[in-house]
Amino acid sequence: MAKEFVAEPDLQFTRDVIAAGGSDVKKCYQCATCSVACPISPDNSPYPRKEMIWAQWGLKDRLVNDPDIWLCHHCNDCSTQCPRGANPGDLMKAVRKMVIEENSWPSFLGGLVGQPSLMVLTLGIPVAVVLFLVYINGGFRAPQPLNYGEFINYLYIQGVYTFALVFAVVSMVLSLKKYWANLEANCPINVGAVRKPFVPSLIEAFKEILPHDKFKECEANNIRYASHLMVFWGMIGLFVTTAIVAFNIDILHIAPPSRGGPGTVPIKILGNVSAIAFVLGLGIMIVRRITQPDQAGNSSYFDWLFLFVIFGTGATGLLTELVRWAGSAPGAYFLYAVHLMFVLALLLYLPFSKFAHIGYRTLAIAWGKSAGRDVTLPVVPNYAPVPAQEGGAEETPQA
Amino acid sequence: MAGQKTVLVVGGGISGITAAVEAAEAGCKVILVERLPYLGGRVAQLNKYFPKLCPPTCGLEINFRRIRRNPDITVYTLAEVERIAGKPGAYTASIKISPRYVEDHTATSKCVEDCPVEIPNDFNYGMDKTKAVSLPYEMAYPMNLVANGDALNKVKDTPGFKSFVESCTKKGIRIDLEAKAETIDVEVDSVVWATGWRPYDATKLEKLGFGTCANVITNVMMERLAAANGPTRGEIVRPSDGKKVNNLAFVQCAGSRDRNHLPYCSSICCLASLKQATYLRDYNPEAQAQIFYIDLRAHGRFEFFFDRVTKDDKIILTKGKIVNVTEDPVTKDVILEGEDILSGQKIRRTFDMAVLATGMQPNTSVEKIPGPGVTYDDFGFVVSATGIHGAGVTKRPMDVGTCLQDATGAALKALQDTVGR
Repeated sequence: MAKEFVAEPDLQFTRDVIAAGGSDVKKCYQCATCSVACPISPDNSPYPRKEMIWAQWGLKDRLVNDPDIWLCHHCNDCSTQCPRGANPGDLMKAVRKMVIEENSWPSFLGGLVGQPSLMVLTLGIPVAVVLFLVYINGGFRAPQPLNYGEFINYLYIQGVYTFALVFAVVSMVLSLKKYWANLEANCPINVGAVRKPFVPSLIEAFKEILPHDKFKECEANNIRYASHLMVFWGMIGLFVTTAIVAFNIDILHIAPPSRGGPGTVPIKILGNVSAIAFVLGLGIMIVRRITQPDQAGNSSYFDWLFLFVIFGTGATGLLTELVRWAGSAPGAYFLYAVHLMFVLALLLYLPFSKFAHIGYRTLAIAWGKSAGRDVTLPVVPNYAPVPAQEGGAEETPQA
Repeated sequence: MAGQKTVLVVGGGISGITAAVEAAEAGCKVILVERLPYLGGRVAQLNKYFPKLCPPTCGLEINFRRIRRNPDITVYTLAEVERIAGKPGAYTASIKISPRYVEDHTATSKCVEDCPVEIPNDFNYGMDKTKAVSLPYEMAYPMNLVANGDALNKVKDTPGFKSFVESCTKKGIRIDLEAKAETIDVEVDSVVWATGWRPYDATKLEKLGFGTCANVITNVMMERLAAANGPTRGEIVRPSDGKKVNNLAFVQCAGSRDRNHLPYCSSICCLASLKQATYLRDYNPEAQAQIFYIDLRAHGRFEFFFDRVTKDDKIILTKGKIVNVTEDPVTKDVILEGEDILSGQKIRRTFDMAVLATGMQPNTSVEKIPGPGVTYDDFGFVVSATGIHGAGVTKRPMDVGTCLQDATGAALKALQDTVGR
């Protein structure tokens, strides 16, 4: 880091970081225990020690353009070993939230989802939309035999949810494009000039993400890896299930599994196994956050909102099915409506809630692959004095 | 002064000795109580002082002479104060005095060599063995043998031990394993408490390899390793194989400034490591020492000591705390891991040996003062300033020079109590 640098401290940023959950950042005295305690931090410019001092100094430009914050999987080894209780893990999390807000398109939604004071509005929007759908379909009725398409016409569902999905994807892509451009232009980490192209880097990132290889290295907190793996694959399974069912209804015009359409059994197995993994994984996360805050880290509104929405999605989905089996049509319709609210919240806020980590982390890992961040430096061998006349051969350590 | 007043000084380290001689030379009677069989405490175990790099024995010797020639000082070794009651000007203290188990009027170590039992040598922090009947160390005061009753009782019926006792008796040294501890009550006017410190238990620093890596030692052990009367006679060699140390690492703040261990700075470890780096450089001019630190703290005039030591280009300073220490299973070299903060790269370096700069833990954090009106801070240092007076590291971490000043101040406080003002 020989190049000249004029620090432009942004004190408001430091205050924002503290408010966003990095409340102990000022306790840090830069001993770098965290950088070494972290089992997945690269050897060259390891995190999170450097992030801690950037946050203390209000170096916003560096932090918001620092892909390393996404390499952290918040296993909290750094925080438990921190001699000062400065909780670097929480700082990293707080910055991640700010990066999501910073890059959000449209930006006001980023502000909305992150603001505890606007919670009623945040949750009210999907509730209102679904209530409206129920209303224009004739109010709350319980048509028998059970047919969700009679309760709310699938066309409405498709209209609203396709719009929400397209909106989420477009918004996410635009946000990530902005983020990538920022990384390219302003990344504070020195990397070599040789860069791997984007697509191979992204493929490499996927190879790491799908089996959670890096996450697994956070050994001290292995349960975190296991629960996230369950949720991750559960969600993929549910997404595939939903896609197949929608394809069956819309394109092939065959009845959904709830009405015993053909090919029901494999779809049901996939859906139910995925749902159970999904809900179970999330349940573990929630219980750990409540019972073991020292290991799970301080949980902020941002964490809880996302966990509430995603757990609610899975839980109401499962409950709807159970109540339907139990034979209560009104109960099933009611839970179905609630489930729709959760799904809408999940989709709509994907780019602005903590859910956005799905995109940012993937991109940051890809950036790391492209820039060759996976450096492991060799162990420097022992020093042995050489006789003076030979000279020059002896290794000079860095001061 | 109307009638001679008495000051009880608890702890016979450098602070206690200082308080005792200062009070006695001001005209008081002094009872000096030490738990170990000799005076001198941690200072007796040092190789050199910083910043002058002179041996502590000369200062101790002067003080021992002041004690020896002063009839007003009564020294009890192997003694502990069990209870103190009363108030300034009128205290009663119970002192339990344990037996030495050996009576020796010859001040000779001739019989010691024949002793069939060996025990770990606490004076050298367990780095070597000593006989179960021995002189604590060459300069011990009082210059008397001491026997380890527990170790000898285990073998007391063996023929080897019986013939050893006989040969000792012939040389005028009487071994008496039947000796019992006695408790005496004394009336004193004031109390100075100077029980000092213990090195923080390095086995609690799980990631720093002490106890699991053969060549990881602590800073107090390094003092003994470098001392001419130490376990290696001053050869700075590795515990694993006796190889001369060429590359030595110092791990600063090993358990200090750490909320999981000692949350405070012990204030002397940086200077101690700088000093110990000079031990290595003097012993082995080829060698290099690398000190890994968070912040190097050389307060006051010690700044000049820091300047002097760091002029040596084979004493390397690296900013970054060492987090993990592991061992190469074949060479027994130690591998240190940390982050070099100035270059922003992780450190993984191999060394012959590593010294953990562990901090000072007040003994009062473990064993509270058995007397009235004493208050402590969160770490166990004495904070109360009236009644029983703390002196030296009982009050806060400090270097030897500061201990002398502090103990002198404590002696004055004690004198004020004796006159009731």
